[in-house]
This record gives sequence, structure tokens and C-alpha cells, in this order.
Amino acid sequence: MNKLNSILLVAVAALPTLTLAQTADEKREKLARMIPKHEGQLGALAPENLNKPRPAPPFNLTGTWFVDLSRAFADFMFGPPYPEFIGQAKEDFEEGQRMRAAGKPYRDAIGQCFPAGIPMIMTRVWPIAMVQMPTVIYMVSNFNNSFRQIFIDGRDFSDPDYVLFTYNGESIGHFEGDTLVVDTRYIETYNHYIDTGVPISEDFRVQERIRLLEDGEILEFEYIMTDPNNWVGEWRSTKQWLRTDYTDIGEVECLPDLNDNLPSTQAGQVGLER
Amino acid sequence: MIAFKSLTVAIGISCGLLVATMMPAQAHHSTAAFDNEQVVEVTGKVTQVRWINPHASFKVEGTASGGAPAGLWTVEMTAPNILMNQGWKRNSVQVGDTVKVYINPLRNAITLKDGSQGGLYVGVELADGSTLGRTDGLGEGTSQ
Repeated sequence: MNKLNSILLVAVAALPTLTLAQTADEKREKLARMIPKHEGQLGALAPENLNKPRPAPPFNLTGTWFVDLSRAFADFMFGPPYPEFIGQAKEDFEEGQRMRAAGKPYRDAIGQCFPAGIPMIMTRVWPIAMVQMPTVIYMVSNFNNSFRQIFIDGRDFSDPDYVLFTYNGESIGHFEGDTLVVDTRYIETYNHYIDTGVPISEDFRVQERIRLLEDGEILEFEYIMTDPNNWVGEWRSTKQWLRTDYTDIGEVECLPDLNDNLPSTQAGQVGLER
Repeated sequence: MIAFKSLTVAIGISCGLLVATMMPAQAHHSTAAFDNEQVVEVTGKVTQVRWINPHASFKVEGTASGGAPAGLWTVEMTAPNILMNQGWKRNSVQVGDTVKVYINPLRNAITLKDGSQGGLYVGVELADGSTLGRTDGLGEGTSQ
């Protein structure tokens, strides 16, 4: 019995050594079914990708930014001017305008904890932290800590057969002179509206043409949005953000019982897809 | 004559800009549900305080002015970081305090899940008699 105990003790003592003996590659192999990966495409933060030789970008927008609503608070919206809406979007837009004129909430999806999604997440009345790396730009809105990433490492959009639609979509950017051009697609449509209840379809596309102005104090985004199922031609809007150096973004979550304490959201469920 | 026309245009543009600047604030979620032309005073005891992003809130059990119902009221507020710019601290209102809170009531006085009435914070007279926000019976709350 004593001998058996001794053998067991030695075996247990040796376990950490055996584990340490595995290389990182071997451990990754063991976890291969759990770790997501896109074959053939280095991740944006992989040292090999970060260190690839690239032309220097014309600007770096790293900073904390606050949407410029100094002209009018309503500038958080993307119209007017509005494009010519068609089909259901035309009816929904007109209903939204009627409700707004009557002082009633309509499709207040964000108030119900649905993600604001692109483009509305960009003009929430909260700061946005932006971090520019050689391969990617990360944007985290202080509002619900909503996350965007814009790949600028030359990759293509994901295969549509495998892509996951998300509220902020998949964004790919490249520089054209002094402008960063960002194209976004694969945007989730469920309870995702623009301004006062304008719906989007899976063909919704957003292009942002981004410039850094006034010695880096102002960030300008020109929005060019298309959705042939919901409006004719391009929906254009230009927004600016102000650099705000004496603040940081914090933690914000939409909690399950949040609306128990917000009378407006309990009154604002009209028109949502349930 | 040309100078007069220019002056007229300039005044017109200035007025337009002034009107645009004075546009009522809208929340990042709609506050259309609140009647921002009416202010109700609710006096009573604080029963709950939520000092949390994205919206602070508190509940008051008491009486209300202008024929509004007595009982439990839920007061919606903007984010703590905005309230702190207005002089609020984490413990400005505590459970058990007697306060007088000024709110824009819901247009359609729906009863909330917990049976309370709802309103948007405009101002408050605290337990120690000091005030925050607007407490003259006028004003428009904001949830942004």
C-alpha cells in the first residue's frame, strides 16, 4: 500500500512538469476546435501582420472623440435631407414622422437594449475611443461599449456564405490620399433602424470617407449609405467629432432590468419587430 | 438698399442659427413619451436609487402636485457623468431621504411594471434643503 501511495504521489507531482513540457503549438492544437481562426489570414494583432512593411498612413486618428452637436442637437440624426424612400421603408418613414410630430416614441429599439448599430452608434451622445494600429482601427463607443473594428491590412471581405451579420457590420478600410475610405457590409437588420424608424435590408452598405482636420482637432466622416430595397440612390450625411483629451470612456451595459427604471423605454416599444 | 438687404439676410441667418441652437434636446433614446411642457412636483421618501450607466434613476413614494396620482414614482435621469457635471454626487440622494423632485410626467400616464408612475428628472430639493437642477416649477428634463 505504501508503495502504491508513493507511485501515485510521484505521478501527481509530475503532472505539472508533463503539462509544461507541451509547447504552445501543441496546446493550440489541442484547443483547435475551440479557437476560432480564419485560414490564410493573419489576425490584425499578429506580430507578423503588424510588422509587415507598409506605407506610412497619412494620419493617425487615435484619440477620444465626441460628436459635434454644437450647431443643433438633432445633428445626431442622418437626415434631413433624406433620400427617396420606397416600399415599406417609405411607409415606415412616414409613420415615424407622424409619430414624432405627435410627440410619441416610435421604434425606440435602442431604448429596448437593441444595439444602435452603424450608423447610429457613431452619433450617440457619448465619447468614442479610437485606436489606430498599422493593421486595424478599433473604435469603442462609450454607449454600451459597442465595438467596431476596421481592418486596414489589405484583407478582403469575408466569404458571404460564412460571415456573421452584426449590428456594426464588417468594415474594411484603405487610404486614398488624405482620406481613409471605409466600406461596411454584412449588417444585422433585426430591430436596426436609422433616425426615426427607417429600416435596413441585408443589402445595406455604408461608406465612410474620413479626414482629420484642423491639426488633428476635428475628425470628419462623410457617410454615403445605399440600400436599393429601401431608398433610391445614395443617402449622404457629413458628421464631425471633436478631440476630447480630458476624458476616457467607461463601462456601460444595458442591463436586463434597466427598463424597469426608465419610464421612456417602457412607453417606447411601438413599431418594433417582436 | 443693398446694405439693408444684407443686414436683413444677416439677421435672418442669425435668428435661424439661434433657433437651431435652442432646439429641444432629445435623448439617445426617445424622450417623446414625456410631456416637457408640464412639471409635476413629487414629495416623498426615496425607496430606491440606481447610480449606474447609461441612466441613473430613483424611485419616490409620496404625493404629487396638480392632481397627479400619489404613490410610487420612477424618475428617469441622464447618465451619472452628465449629472456630475451638474453638481450631483453618488450619494446626493439616498434611500430613506425625503425629497421634492420636479419631473416632466409621461404624456400617457401608463403604469410601469412595478405599478409606479413615470417622469423625467428636471430638478430636486434634497433632504438638506439644497437643490440641484431646476426647481422653479418650469423646465425641460433631458435623458441624454
